[in-house]
Amino acid sequence: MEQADVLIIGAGASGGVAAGALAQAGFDVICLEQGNWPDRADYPAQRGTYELEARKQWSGSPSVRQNPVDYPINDADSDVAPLMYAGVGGSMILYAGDWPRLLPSDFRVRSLDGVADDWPLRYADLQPFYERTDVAFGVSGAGGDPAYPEGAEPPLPPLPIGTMGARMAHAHDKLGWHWWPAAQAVLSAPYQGRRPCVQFGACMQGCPEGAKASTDLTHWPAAVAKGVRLLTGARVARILMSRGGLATGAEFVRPDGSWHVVRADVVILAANAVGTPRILLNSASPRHPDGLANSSGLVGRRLMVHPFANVTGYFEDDVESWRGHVGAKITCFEFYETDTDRGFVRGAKWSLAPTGGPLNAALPTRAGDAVWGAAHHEHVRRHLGHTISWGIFGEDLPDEANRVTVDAALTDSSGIPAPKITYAVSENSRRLLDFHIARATESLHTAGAYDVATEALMRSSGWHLLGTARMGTDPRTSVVDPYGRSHDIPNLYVMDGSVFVTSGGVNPTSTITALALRSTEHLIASRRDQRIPA
Amino acid sequence: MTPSQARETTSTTAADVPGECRDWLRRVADRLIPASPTMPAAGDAGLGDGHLDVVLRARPDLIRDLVRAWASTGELAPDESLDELRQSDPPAYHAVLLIVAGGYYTSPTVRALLGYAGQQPRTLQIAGDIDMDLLMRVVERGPRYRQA
Repeated sequence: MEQADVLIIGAGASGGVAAGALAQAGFDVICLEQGNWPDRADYPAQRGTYELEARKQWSGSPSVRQNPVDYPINDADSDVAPLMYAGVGGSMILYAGDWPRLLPSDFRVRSLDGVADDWPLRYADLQPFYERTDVAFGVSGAGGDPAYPEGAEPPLPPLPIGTMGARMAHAHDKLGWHWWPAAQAVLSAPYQGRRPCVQFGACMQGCPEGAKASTDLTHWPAAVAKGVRLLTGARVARILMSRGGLATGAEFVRPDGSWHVVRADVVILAANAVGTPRILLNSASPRHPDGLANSSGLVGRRLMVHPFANVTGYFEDDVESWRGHVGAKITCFEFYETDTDRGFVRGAKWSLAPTGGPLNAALPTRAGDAVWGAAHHEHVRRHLGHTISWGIFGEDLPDEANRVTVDAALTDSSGIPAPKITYAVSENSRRLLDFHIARATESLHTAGAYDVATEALMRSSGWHLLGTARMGTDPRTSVVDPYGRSHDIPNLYVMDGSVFVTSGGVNPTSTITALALRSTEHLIASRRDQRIPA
Repeated sequence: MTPSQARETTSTTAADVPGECRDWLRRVADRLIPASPTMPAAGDAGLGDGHLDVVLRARPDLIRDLVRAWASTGELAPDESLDELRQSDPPAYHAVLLIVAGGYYTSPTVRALLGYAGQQPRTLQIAGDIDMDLLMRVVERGPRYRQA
């Protein structure tokens, strides 16, 4: 039986950060990862069938991909389909690399806007960790963005904003609106042995250059070199408990169907905001009938996913819209903060993104069936190379009815009960997106677009899974403390997006990794006081 | 093999797709993407010369839907096939659309005509295309965040 000081469940963004810090501090660490090491040579960017593979084998949806390592998710009762990836590096393998931080107001929404809850920490508490994770992952960007408080500049200069970014920058200058070169976890120059971005425009199907940051590149090699044992193909079924109420390890299954147990003094869950509550709830027993760490009843509740809209402008001239990094050329925070005159609270960040190749032009979901027959070539000519999209991430306020539960019938290929998601877009989110779509349309027309198409509330947009084991100081209203430690089980930690109190309106990976670093260093610093099983 | 005989068979690889199914698909493809003065029809450019096999090797999951589409509607005229599939078997209908468009837009001939070379690497210009005067005007408009 394997034994360790610390067991980490999940080798994605937060698991990689935690493993790196613990290894550096001399802890004996084992990590169980359900997926495998990614093979960059297998990424499809340079194959002629890239766009075809992106819709199946390299889809962000586990339900579409159906890899053996994926678990099924019942999302029939959800307005948004969850997206994720199983493997070393986790969903960072397929994310866009967009790396904004939460803003100061995001931590104080109850105090400022009278909704949801304040976080038990502020932006200033997290800023030093943001700056350190920027360095660790190799973030490119421009310092001095007036959307944020002052601080250290990103370690690398910004990526090119391209023809489309320059066009929209001029439009926003005319409107007097905010724009800024987007912070990206994509290298603009050689960095720590990694090669820079060459603008494949295929970030979301794996970066063949290794220029986009993911922990399989940035954290795991060093952690493994320091002795961390990373077991791939290890699917965790449940966390094991002592009679004294402490976690003692986990039970897991290998691809050959063999079952194993690993023991540890401390257990860290880093399995994302669907996988983590799934494991906690699947760990129910007569002593813990509601699952683990669930005295508040909030495990799995308050799921937030960032309702998303795409607003696409059509231009007569070539704006090179299949080229360049995918995350964002520029961002806009003009309408991020609350203005109650708009009829909703909170706001959204905009990301300017390319619109893909010819198959994406031929089959955009917004085009319906009217793209076939004699009109087809004109449809593709209008779209390919001539379109720009604002991606709008709206803040998603927490609602206890939006939740992850364990499905009564569905299981993964190992027989482990699968998660079920229940999620409805709120009225505030709908009003928020309507307002932002109208403003983004204005932005694109100002830039010279002769037509604008909108795809609101996209179903397959559930990349940002947050909030299902929220942090807080009161055990009655939160699952973990401000450092990710379970209120109920003092040697059980959650270090993924589950701990978010509110969602903000930005891509969360930067915040997930900064929080993971902060929580891990607190665990290390308080090691002498850490209760462990006998 | 006729469409009705195909109902009794199972195709699992591109090589298993019958010639009659391929012929039917080319006729359907020409209705979906017909020729224009500057672009070829899909039956000529995207699905001929073995290119269908390129698509199906990349997406073997589509073979079953393709063969079912042909088996259930192959005896109809192309427009009627498409109408019937759209109404009675949306997964097969969408598989046919994806195969036709996927074949067309992975065709080197079509790509050359569109000026699309695929997702190709380029020389990176670090921050060389950012207008600093515009950026400074953003700064001069002052902080955008709320103190909290």
